[in-house]
Amino acid sequence: MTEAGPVPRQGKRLHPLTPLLRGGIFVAAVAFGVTQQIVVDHQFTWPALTLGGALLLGLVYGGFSWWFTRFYIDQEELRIDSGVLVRRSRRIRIERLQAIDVVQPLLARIFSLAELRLEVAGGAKTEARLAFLPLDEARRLRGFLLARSQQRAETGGQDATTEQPVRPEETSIAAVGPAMLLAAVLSTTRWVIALVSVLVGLVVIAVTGTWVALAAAVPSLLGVGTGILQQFANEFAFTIKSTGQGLRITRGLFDLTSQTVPIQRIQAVSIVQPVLWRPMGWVRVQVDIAGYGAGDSAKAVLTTTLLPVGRRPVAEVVVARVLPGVNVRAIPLSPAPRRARWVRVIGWWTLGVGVDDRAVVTSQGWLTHVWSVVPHAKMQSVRLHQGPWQRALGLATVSIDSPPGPVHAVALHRPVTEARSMLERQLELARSARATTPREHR
Amino acid sequence: MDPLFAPPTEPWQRVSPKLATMRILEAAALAVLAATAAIVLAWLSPLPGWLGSVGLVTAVLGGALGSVLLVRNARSWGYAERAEDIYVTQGVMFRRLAVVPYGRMQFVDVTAGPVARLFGVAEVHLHTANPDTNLRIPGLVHDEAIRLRDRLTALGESSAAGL
Repeated sequence: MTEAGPVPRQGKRLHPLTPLLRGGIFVAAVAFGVTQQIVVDHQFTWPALTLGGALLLGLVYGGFSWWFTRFYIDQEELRIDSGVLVRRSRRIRIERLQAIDVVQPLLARIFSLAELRLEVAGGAKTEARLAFLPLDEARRLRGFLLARSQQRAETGGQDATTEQPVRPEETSIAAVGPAMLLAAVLSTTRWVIALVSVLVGLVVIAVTGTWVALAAAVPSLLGVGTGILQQFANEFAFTIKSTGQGLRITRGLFDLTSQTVPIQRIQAVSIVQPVLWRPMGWVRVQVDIAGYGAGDSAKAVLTTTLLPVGRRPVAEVVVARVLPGVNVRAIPLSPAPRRARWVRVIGWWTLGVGVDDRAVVTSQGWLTHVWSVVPHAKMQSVRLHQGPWQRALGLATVSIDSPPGPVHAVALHRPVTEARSMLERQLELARSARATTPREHR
Repeated sequence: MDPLFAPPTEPWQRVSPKLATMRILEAAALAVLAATAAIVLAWLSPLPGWLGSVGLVTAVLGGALGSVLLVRNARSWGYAERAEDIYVTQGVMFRRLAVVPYGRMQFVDVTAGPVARLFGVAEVHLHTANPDTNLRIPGLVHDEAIRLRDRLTALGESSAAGL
């Protein structure tokens, strides 16, 4: 490929302020320790020297590492060369990109710098990060990479005529106001349980008059409080827009994040409703994206959220955008038989499953009601499971596996005959869906 | 046979009976270890002697029961290769049936531990993009494991669906 990319052929360095920003946190930690020493021990010379030394060392190392880091982008791949003593060269094929984030930590916002994060399928953590770049450049590179990855995916890796990608208008799909977000964050099941346990602790204190319970209550209250604040800060000013290159999610109070997810990379969707949201009709929308955080850590939940809170109709609009042709409301759910209550005492009435020619929907949970949607074209495998209790009742569980993420579509406790025919029908539907769906949408 | 876990068309291909022998051997080794521990403890400790015998009897009984369960479990493995997907079933108390379309396979592993090598068997492990799928077939005779791996890899390549 001789055509030039958006970066000069000899590569490019990151922004010269990078070592300062990256070292910022480390320096703050050292400074904190040193200040403590000065205040507590009234010593000055040694702590000051330590601080100065650490600063100098950090800056020198950061400077070297900055000097030796270069990145290259051409029509096919992105390459990052780094390392002072041990050289490392990482190549990422552009057509393999799953999603691109532009992240601005608070410190970087002051200098209008940003970090570019590239997600590739398979990795548990971010595959490559370019930190820091000027914000404009980060956006420009993101635009180029997304346009390029789309072209290559559509032409099946063959090269098409490279024309300037058209940039369609961004249309807003949904936005979340601060009041609604605060109310929603304060009423998720997790926090309510924590608060109730703290209240119980307080009652114990009041009744027994001992303050021992307080020692247990205070840290848990602090944990709950920081959790709420973090979630609020991370999901503040949440907007979701549709661009020509996929969905763009922006969010954040202190640290700004702008995620771009190509729609065809979304593998499955779940609609989540904590019990206290039910009167308001609010739901949360989460998605499986290959490459984005698997697992249940707070960060994984955050990066896979498509809508932190919204009314059901809004959520349905969002879901309709990411799963074209799938109308979740139109798929009728058939409930689990009454005898399922012997294996699922609480919430057996929430169990259900529905299938149409595009997707399968499962429903479960009382404290947190979850509807999971897996399009047939994205199904990875299907499994049947039956324990001794279920066998006695003539029930079995069918799992429809999507790539790893927050979505777990499981049809719990179906009648035996239905379970087996569902498994075979699911295979059939997935096969025909794969055959008729264009390759990049599978 | 339970129609829920019946094979799709022709009967299940069963894994080698060596798997059961292997599992018993492993369990026996564990039981012997536990029994030895019980004897040594009874000998060293000031506890009454009958407690040691109880431990010994428990270890022996546990080993016997364990072997029965293990044999039943080892015999329950079955698989069926079809034109476009593979069925794998397993379990007696907790039964499972997993089906993976060949196009969804990401890669195939063949592993054989020291004990398995002694018996000339290996385990084939299929991976899709979802780690929950966890489709594995233990106790395959060496040649069969290789044949299965090669066939799966070839089929996976020809019908790959991407992500």
